[in-house]
Amino acid sequence: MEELYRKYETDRLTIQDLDALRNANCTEVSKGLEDYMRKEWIEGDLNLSSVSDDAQSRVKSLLDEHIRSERSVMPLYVKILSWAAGILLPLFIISTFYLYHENKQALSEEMIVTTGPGERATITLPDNTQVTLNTQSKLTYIPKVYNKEERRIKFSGEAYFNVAKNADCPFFIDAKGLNVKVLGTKFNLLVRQDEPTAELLLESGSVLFSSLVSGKSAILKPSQKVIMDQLTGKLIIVADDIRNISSWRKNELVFRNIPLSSVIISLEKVYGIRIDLNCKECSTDLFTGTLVTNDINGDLEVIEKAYHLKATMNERKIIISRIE
Amino acid sequence: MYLRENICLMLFLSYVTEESQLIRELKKGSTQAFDKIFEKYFKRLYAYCYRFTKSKEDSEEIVQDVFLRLWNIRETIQQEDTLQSLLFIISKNYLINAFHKNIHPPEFEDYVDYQEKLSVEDTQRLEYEDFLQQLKLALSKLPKTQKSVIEKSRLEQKTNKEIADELSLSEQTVKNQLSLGLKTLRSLLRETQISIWFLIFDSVFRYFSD
Repeated sequence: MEELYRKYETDRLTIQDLDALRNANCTEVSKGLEDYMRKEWIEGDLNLSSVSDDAQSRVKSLLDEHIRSERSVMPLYVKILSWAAGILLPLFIISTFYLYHENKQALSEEMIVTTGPGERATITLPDNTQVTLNTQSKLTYIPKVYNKEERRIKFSGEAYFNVAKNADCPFFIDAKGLNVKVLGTKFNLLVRQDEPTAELLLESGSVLFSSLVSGKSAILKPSQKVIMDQLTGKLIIVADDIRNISSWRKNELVFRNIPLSSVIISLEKVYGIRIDLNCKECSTDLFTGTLVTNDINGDLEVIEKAYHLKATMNERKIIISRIE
Repeated sequence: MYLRENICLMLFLSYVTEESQLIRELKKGSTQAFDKIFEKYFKRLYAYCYRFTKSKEDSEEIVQDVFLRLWNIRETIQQEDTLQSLLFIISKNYLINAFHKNIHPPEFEDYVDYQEKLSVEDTQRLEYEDFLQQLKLALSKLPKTQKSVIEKSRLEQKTNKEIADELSLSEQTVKNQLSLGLKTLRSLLRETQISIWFLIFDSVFRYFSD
């Protein structure tokens, strides 16, 4: 292992070496790497003459700035004490909390990625796992630990996961009512706080899906979808069409025999705007079709035409009602 | 014999007391002590960081963060600590992360391939960040679709079918764009130092397999 690190440092790796480095067991890599780094730091023959003076003065002035700005709080503190003025004191407290908070952020352990209504984001985790988050989703991981001892994230919302292969270091997802374990695979996971079920559709590879409430688990094969009831923890496995997996990534929402009321709710989530459907009879009608996620007017037109409805918009919400 | 040993001992003691004096003063918030520590360790820390980050920009950022943290935690430092161990501990996780960030993406694979194929006589071997820069520069000169297809295929590791779906093209068009793009890249890179590698870039053929 040490040999591999040396090769990495001196740019003398082979492709097989790189594979070995990538697939090495999490703890193996972190412990061995740390020891190697310590040796390099203490005894390594580092070429100091290649370090530019520019870099040194740049860093120095940035550091001086930080340190000076911190110190300027001190005189203010002394002034306040001697004045005992209640007006300046709250200001001081706020700025101290700000500096403390800034400091805490730098040392903070968790990395959190969130998307708002109508937003999407793709993030790449330290092991090259790629996660595309759909609207209103949240992913949390701890950079210090991730990929060193295990790969574990907290998640809520909906996302498409492309998990990097590593047999020695399984990838875990902690979410509401469930736990997912994978080795290297692609899948779509939907688990929202306010929804009664959670589902995972597997595109390739294999996952172990476990319910926290019922203790039941299932191993999925590609093209299988597991649906879990949040209340009972019951799992159902169905075969599903993966052609449309995560179609939301492509700006599309594909519906097949979905009640109109649910379609409306999906649109609400995507665009982050309230939509009232004033039509009791049509709310249970089944809708089959594709809507886009970047053109609300287009979508409304589709619905208007299909059900003889009219949509009106004010600043707060959209109202859809029958044409009289 | 006596004299030499005495001198060694004195040098060692002065080193030890100099360090502990610096720490004592740093703990009290002395910016002069901090400056001296910076002077003493900057170059070594920077060179050390560069070995793992392979990026001048990242190394600068990390070194800055390390020294800033050292200053921020100055009051909690123990008198018995050594600057050497403190700097190591503070920088450790930054560098482990940088290491992992480097070895996983496909670009690094290309770099490993490149330096594997360089012969022993090649004096002009590029550093990782320069290699990336030249590749990126050449890519930016490609026509939009060719560039897009190559990036999605190599960097995002998407299959031809996925790319076809995403860009609303036929799979055949994707294959054509890939081969055209690679041809163009080859000629663009001919003048650069990575041209020889690119000529024997056989992982190219991975592009064509799904």
